[in-house]
Amino acid sequence: MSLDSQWEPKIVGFCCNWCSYAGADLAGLNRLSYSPTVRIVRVPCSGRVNPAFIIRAFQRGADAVLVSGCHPGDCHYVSGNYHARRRFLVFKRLLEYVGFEGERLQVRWISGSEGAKFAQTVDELDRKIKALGPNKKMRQEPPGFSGVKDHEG
Amino acid sequence: MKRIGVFVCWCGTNIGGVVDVPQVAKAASSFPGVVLATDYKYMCSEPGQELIVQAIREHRLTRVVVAACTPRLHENTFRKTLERAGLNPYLLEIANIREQCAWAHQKQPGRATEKAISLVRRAVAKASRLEPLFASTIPVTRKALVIGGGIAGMQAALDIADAGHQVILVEREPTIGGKMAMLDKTFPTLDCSACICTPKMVAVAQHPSITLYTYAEVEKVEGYVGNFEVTIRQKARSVDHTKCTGCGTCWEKCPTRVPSEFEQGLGTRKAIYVSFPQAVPNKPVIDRRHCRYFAAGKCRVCEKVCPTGAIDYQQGDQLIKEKVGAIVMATGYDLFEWEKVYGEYGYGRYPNVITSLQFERLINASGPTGGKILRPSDGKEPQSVVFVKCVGSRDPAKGKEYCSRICCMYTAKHAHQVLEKLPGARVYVFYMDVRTAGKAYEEFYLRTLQDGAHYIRGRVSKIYPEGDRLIVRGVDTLLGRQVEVGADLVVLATAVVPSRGAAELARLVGISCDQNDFYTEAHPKLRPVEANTAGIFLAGACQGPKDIPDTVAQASAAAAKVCALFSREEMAAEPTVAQVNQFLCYGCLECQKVCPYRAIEPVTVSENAAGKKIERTVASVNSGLCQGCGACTVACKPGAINLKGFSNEQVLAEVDALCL
Amino acid sequence: MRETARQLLREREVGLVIGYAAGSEAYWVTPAFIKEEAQADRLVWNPFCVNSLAKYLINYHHEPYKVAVVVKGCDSRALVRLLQDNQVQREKVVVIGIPCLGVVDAKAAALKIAPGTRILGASVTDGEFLLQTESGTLSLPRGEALCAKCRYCENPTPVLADTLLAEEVAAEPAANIYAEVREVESWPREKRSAFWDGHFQRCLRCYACRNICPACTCRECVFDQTDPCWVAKAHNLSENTAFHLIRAMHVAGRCVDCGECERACPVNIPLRLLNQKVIKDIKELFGVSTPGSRLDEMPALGMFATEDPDEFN
Repeated sequence: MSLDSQWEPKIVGFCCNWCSYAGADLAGLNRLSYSPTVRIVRVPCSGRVNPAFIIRAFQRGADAVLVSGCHPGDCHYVSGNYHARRRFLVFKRLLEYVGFEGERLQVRWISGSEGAKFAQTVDELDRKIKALGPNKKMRQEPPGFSGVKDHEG
Repeated sequence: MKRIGVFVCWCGTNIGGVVDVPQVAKAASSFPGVVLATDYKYMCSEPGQELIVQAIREHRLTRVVVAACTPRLHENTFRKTLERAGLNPYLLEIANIREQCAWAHQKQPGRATEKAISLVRRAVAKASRLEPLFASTIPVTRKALVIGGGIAGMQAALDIADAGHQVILVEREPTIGGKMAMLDKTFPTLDCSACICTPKMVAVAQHPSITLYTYAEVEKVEGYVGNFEVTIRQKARSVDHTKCTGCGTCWEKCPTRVPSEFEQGLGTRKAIYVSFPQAVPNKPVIDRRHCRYFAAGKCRVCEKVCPTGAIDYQQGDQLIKEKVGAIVMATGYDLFEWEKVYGEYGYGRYPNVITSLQFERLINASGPTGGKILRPSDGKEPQSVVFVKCVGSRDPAKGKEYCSRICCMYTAKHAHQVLEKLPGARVYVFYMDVRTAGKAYEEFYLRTLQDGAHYIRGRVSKIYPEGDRLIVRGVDTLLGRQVEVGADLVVLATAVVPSRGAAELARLVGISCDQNDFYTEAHPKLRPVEANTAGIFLAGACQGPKDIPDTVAQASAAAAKVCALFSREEMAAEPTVAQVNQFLCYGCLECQKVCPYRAIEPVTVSENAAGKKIERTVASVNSGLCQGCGACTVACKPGAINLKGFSNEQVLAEVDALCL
Repeated sequence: MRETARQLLREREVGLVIGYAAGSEAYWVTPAFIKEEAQADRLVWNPFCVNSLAKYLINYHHEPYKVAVVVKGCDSRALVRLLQDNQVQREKVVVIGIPCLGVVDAKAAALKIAPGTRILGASVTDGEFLLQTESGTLSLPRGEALCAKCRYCENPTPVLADTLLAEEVAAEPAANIYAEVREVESWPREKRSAFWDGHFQRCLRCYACRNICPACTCRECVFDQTDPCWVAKAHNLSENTAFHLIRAMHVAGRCVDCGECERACPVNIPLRLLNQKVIKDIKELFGVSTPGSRLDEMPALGMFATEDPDEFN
């Protein structure tokens, strides 16, 4: 995609299956309209999100990453989001330290009933990233291969 | 080469009205590995599913992508479709182009179509990385362990046993019955607690499928759902129960009197004793701490008088091992130790300040006063009784933040009982709120008010003696003034806390506690009777303060869960579990630390290294316990532990595809 | 030290002593693996003993005998790391601890010491390192010669030792250990970005930092794996940055701040400045100690507290 006025951010979202993915579904169910720039990867738990996945997204051209899980205390798996919270508090600071705009990594607790919060979060992120412009940090030039590799032979 | 089929659903106009479905299918046909991309009005309908089945057969598809509604709705539907076509059901990936696309971007159909294509590309990328998964099965030992013999444990044990399964009931006290056996009457019906509790105790003892261990504690729990191995310590009773007839001669003749736990210290028992006349089993134990023979080496009166020679001073603790498939925690509650923190109420120094549970014994016909309300200091009938609610409850400064739930009702009952038994007596109740949520509860409370109980809204700031009475000083917040009430007897509604040792037992069994040491349920709304460890269930006040009806309901619910688990000889385990690549694992066991289910254990593997046979520790996942959260996968630096269905390879491929 | 080594070997307490021996130049020492009593004389201890020997222990994990290892304070944290990661068994290690007054940066010393010089003895005073050589006493001013990691030392005395070879040295009151990190934090984003891009750009991906790291003991590192390919092997800023960030996260909560990565780096990437950032944040956020300073305190990212700070609501 060219970087002219038509530029739209590319946002990768990691949503936990039990809360945030359900929250995103609810936003749709309620026909809440939000920016189509976010594309979701479903994960079982925010504790499943490896910082390496986020690094990969930035490398491949994502302009922002949204990680979303159940509110602390509500984790379907008891404690996954507590681990995620520690990890991302540290990781976000590290990204900023090496020169990323902190806004590009957004972590949010969104429950299955918070469709509106999901839509709002996406729109806010979209607005911020549009103001910042495309991410250039760590981005591969030219964009990488598809990553799809065949194993069946 | 993988042969992927993409099936794009219109969902009538739900998707088709916004997203250009044929264009999505067309775009998908060019994605790597896709050999067929087509669309249909309603994919989930019978003809829609048939279309998929036919296509799988005709085009020899090895992976299927359905672009439709959220996987939370129809993932299982389409998995069954794949199964019908002879394909492993886990070779399916869903692209959510309805909830997260068409419905959310109705006003931007062009962008919605573009996003739908991207979401399908992600699904194709993941599909090409999917592997067949197989639900493993775990054998189930159809025998349950119930820990705690109060009303919760008894109810759970009876329900499970009535369903035809073996039950082991472990109670640490010499008798079952728990707190309910101590109570006088139960609110709001005022039926006699013993009358409904003791038949249950007898039923438990007589049930052919229940093995009862009283005066015993669970010492060790190993294994996992369906396959626990439990070690029970049968504490030495010093009485051979196979010989004892429960005649009672020994405790009649025993010279040592100590305060009775059952009577809450208001009465006494002997050193050889049964807790109360209806105790089950109705045979004594020797309290070695207080027995003269054990303390001083002399006495042996019980031995001399026992007609069957059942006294056995040499008896030691016994360790019993049992294999069970499920565990029900029913360890109940204790009362908050108000004496330790409430200096303003006298730190327990005033004999006429008692707890509600003591009051239950005082008013109980089989209690130390024969059911007469007499104040402990001098045995006089009180003319004025003050009840103080929320002692330790709803008091984050000195006690617990939570509401203990049962105190409002039992205090109303106590007030009613005083007014009934002592005509002319005055009854005051200091309260913060009156909470009477429950069938016929509010009605009962209103009756107590009509009986003449004085409810004063406010907390008590001080209780102090004046002559042979007590002065209760508090505030009436409704009138906005200080009040002082003279009392002959003060009854404190102390907070309900988990029974002593609950947290240690949780660690031993492998479940978690909340900040107050109540056992944590697997989900506060949807799985309220399951612990977060598979195969362990919760019943009664160990999970949170509860009254008798709620406790019994939860116990029966836990029993139903146990019976569901026992309905088959083998249980299917979700195949989306973690798996260790032992070659990559270097044994740091960080994964074990983050696993909330204790599903990861170290194992030793032997291998050849540089011509030598070495032994190495690696992590191993118990697929029966693993719930598939994936926390371990991120804790693992070399990526040795991976999550089936959400593997590192799959997620990276999804990210790559979404960023294209 | 030699006497301790001799005794351990003589009494068959250990099968191997890992210590320092003189290197090819005065300001270099080399690891010495002493198996016989007679060789113990090769062991030296002087202000050039900068390298950490703890990681060598993992090579002897499967040997039947015990191994003695010489550790300074910072190295003892590395040993704790290895113990916590189950890479070393405590009962198979004899820890010879040396309370340390700071070591010399070899690069600074190389400017002052003529090639071929032999060190006969050394002592450390408040202001200088005094080296006895064949041609007299040489003084290296502490300010110039002290190794960067010794400027603020949290553990001059090893946190774990079976024998201590000198009097304990008390830690200085916690100074502003992370002043340099705070300095970088205070820069405008563009400057931080350019600074790190400049460094990561030069990375050779030689993995020396990883190989020397006591927190890196994987059997096969993610950066060597091809499926999944976490980071491509290509040598460019994107992949290099990904490498450094993933590595920083892998050692997050586990890096003991021994500084060995930075010392090993052939292109002088300020790796301590990167890892110290994470250490500082973890300490501030979760109230933990520097990793490795307590055997009973496990890595911070392997645990949690419900009352941890939350910025994600």
